Amino acid sequence: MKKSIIALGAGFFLAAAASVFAEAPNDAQIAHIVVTANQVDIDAGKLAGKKGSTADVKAFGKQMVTDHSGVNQQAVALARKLGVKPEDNPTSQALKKGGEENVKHLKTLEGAAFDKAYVDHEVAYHEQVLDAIDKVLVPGAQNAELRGLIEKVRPAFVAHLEHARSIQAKLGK
Amino acid sequence: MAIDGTAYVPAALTVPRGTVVTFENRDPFPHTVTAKGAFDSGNIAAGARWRYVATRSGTYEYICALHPNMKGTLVVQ
Repeated sequence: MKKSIIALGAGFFLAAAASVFAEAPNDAQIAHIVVTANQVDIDAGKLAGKKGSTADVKAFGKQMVTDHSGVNQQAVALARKLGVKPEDNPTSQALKKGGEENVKHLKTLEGAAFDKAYVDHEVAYHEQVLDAIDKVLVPGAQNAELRGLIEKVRPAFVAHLEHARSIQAKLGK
Repeated sequence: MAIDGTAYVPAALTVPRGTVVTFENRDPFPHTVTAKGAFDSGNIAAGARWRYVATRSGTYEYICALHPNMKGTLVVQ
């Protein structure tokens, strides 16, 4: 059940990405996707910071809130500086919807089941976001500073993915 | 030393004993400089700096406790 939800979320994101990016996203849309992708992970992280049943999961959730909030502050500041007004688009909408469904599902779980579902989703989500960064966002960004920001934060997303995988392995024991 | 793009720049540094090594975090979120058993900066906030006085000779491998794939080496001669 959990796996199918993750697969659905990931598939939805990619399907939406494929359909939207038949027409390449413009910088205003890319900025919106960046902010939305971060916000989705902030929302899940806030929940995990409170509901996580192990110190690892709680700390990871809190770190996701801190790191992705920091990235978003920088993204919003850059968009303002460049005079780019982030523009809503189907990919952002799909991300937001997937995030809301994830949080809704997580709220029904407790203890070890919550931890597992949260961490499994974090692994899948960071994999998907990295895929989107490499295939869509970096190649698509026209403005060098916007592209630079995405490239600069990419290694943090890799670190989050590895961190989530290590917690996942521990939880599996 | 800079911490930039979730990496230590430069990743390896050699200094004479007694040098004050300053790590400046240029990322928009916290990092640490943690060498198990030797030194630990604790969280260095976005835009903040941490100074380490390299008083003991040796080779120190350090990581960021928050992003453990970040690795650096400090050699104190």
